[in-house]
Amino acid sequence: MENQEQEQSITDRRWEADSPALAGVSGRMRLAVGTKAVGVLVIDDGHLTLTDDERPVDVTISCATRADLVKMLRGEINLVVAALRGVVRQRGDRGFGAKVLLGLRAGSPFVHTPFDGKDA
Amino acid sequence: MSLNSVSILDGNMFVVSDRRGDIDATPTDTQGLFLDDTRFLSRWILTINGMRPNTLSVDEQAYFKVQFFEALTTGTVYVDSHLSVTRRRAVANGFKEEIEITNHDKEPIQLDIKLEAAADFADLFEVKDKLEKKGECYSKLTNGTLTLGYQREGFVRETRITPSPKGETRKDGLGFQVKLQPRSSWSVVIEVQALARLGEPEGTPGVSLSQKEVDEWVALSPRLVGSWEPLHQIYRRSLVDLAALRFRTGIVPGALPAAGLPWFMAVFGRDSLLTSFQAMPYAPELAASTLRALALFQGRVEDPFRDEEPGKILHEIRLGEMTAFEERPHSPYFGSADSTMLFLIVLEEYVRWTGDLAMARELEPQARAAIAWIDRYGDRDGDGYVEYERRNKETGLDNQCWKDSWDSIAFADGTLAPTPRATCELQGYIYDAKMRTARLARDV
Repeated sequence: MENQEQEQSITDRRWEADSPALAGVSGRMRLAVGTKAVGVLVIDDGHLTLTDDERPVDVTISCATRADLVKMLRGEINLVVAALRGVVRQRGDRGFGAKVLLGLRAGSPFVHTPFDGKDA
Repeated sequence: MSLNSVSILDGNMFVVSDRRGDIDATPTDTQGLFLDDTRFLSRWILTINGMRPNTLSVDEQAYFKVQFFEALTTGTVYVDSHLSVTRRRAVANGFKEEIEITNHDKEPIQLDIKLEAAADFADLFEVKDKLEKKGECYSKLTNGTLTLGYQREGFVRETRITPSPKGETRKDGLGFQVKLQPRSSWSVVIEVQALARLGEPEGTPGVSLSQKEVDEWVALSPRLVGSWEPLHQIYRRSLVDLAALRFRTGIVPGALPAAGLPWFMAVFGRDSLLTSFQAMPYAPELAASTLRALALFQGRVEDPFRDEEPGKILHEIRLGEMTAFEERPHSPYFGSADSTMLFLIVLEEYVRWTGDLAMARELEPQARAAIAWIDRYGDRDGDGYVEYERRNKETGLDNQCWKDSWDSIAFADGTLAPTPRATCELQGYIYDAKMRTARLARDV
């Protein structure tokens, strides 16, 4: 389990959506930009909730920039390429993190989500 | 690889040197310290008073550690040195090397000991194809540690070299001035860490592996009973060789078999599955890890660059710079027409040997996706046969079957067969995979 200091949220509201590509996958993922936590993605058998709270998580995904994080949530980032180039780093259960990121790549429900209007 | 090279390895980290223990990488001699398909050390040369010691013998103690016994000689007829050198090297999280020099003479001797170090951070594909680097190399000295680094945008790799005791650390290596008394020894321990920035180093260089761990792993295999002693030796050596091929991804539990040193210490579809299949009676846990890793990366989308299609099992994952910048498609690359069927075959074979039906239930979605790939994408023209033709025309593989050299599928007169190609073993694999998967489907 990983914990991290909470900073600016990725979203000012709670987003919920379904992702068939993440059916069978459940857990909690802290989202961070650099060292700053910006939200939590809760996955419950393919049902995704983007929120923020202080509860323990299975993995922390840290992106180099906010734009990278938004791309990741929208499934626009190849996990292996991003990890090799230092764009995405994982701490915690990397297997769970990989399942989520690969699932988002296959079909993200956040493709058109306007994250604070600040997304790339 | 040269017959005069000495290799030790731990997963996808390995050191290839000459029989002195020196590393002097050239385009034709692929020596070095490698991790994640990147060469972290391309030069590692020991000199004493300007001379390179000559090798007396090499003791390859285990696949992860080696000793070099050497002498500083001037004669060519017989060894007339009073100075002996022992280099003990163990790989894991980089490598650790102890250099011990003994003065057997009656007089003290002044020694100027140098260890040249350099890193070119070449991608394995660059080593094979002799390509130029696109980023910048750097070096820095901090508290006796020499750091050799390479950066291209966010792709940063470093090699940290730390001697104990400290000597004179320079940007091109280490130096030690030693006055060695008669019949006395001097030694230095050098830790070489390779930092791939995929995670922090997991431990101290050279100390994570042990003979005890290998012995315990070998002991888990079936016991061989027989009267012919050589067969026992062959059996044990085979198991140890298999142990040497174990490869940990860090994202699925356990280890899976890589395809071979040095070019193929990576996750492969075909190779990892076939090795797992053949090792099933002896080490079925290799199959479990292989199946889980391949299931995790199973194709999800149509991506011509990677030859990826939904349900397809990957061909190969690489972690070097050229993969990072998509100059090669191995992130992962899916150019394998047989891995998907082999995945189904190994899953059923694993359940048959172990009775682990939970594994079949765990991977049922991936198995069903694999079957769907065979019928929708594998059989491109709906004639009941699986055929292949690469969609990545630049860097994809021409041949995506057992014989995957570019010119391997040819007519008797040498003419290359046109694509798409439907080789015979693919059709056998389909039949076997579907029969086995039908049985599994009934059981789960």
